[in-house]
Amino acid sequence: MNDPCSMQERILLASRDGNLSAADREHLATCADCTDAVFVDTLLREEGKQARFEAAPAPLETVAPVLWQGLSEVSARRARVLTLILRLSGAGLSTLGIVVAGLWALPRYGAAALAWLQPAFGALDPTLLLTRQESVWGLVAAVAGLGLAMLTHGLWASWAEAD
Amino acid sequence: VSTVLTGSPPLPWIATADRAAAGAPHSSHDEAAFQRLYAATSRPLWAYLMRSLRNAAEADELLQETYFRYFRSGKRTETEEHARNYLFRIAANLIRDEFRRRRVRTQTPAPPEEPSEPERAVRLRRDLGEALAETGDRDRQLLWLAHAEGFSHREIAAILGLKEASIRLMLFRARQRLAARLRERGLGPEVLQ
Repeated sequence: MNDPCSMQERILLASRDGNLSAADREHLATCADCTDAVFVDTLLREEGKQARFEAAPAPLETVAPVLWQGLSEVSARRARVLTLILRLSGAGLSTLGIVVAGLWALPRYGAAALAWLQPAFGALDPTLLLTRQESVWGLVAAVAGLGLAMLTHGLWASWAEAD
Repeated sequence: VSTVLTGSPPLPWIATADRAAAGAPHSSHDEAAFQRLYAATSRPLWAYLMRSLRNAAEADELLQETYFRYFRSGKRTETEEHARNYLFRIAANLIRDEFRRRRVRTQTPAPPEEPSEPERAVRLRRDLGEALAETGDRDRQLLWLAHAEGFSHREIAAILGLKEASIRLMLFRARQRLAARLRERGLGPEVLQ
């Protein structure tokens, strides 16, 4: 037999409700498929009741702390991802601010600063610094700022992991 | 909560600022709902896990994992019935993963627990347990969900990730195989008389 009997669903429902009619019983006497279905269904329904009765799941008081710990770890991971975005945004903004302030300040106070820095620059022409090299310094500051942010985050993450 | 669970450790939704983000219950209403849900679903879920995996320790572990994933998903189920179906679906996925791991480890399945008293009812249960254990993993889950838990074909399809149209035939074949195994043990419809 390759297909279930067309009456099977109805017979099963009637059997579960205890409403098997005389016609159903007559059919059951001749249909091996429905007989097997009712037999297996009855056995498994009873087994299901017994299994639920005997089931020994951990009580809520035991499960709750484990759930709490797991959920806290998930929250911590989410927080780490969120703070990474915030930290990088903050570092980027700070770097941008430093660059803008530098670019604004250099043409005005660059000469005085260079006079102070002159020994360090040696033979470098101070006027260059006010034109092209200001962008170079800005880039150096940006890279340094980002590097610092990444380093800070790396350290923070390793501390959080250690905790 | 302390009035309900005196002396118990703090529950997930107490004193945690992360609870909303984590999807945990966040009010006394949710807390009561979770307690109701746990009371209503933990036993059938455990029985399903136990019957599928045939190992109490694994059933315990996967039961906790089921509720953990339920909260982590943050899914808001409209009714307790939806929550129950969703929990069974998570459990079915965990069982599938566990079967996959077992195949990798080529672990032999744990034998069904032996009853101590050789009474007729006990023998019937033992034979049924053995016959179920001999059926395939998929058959066992299908039969348990359909007959022991009384899920509809549509619900079983959602839980096991199968097509609803194929459930009827799969169940029919699973029943045939189980009935044949029971007959090998001398068990037929006459035992119900």
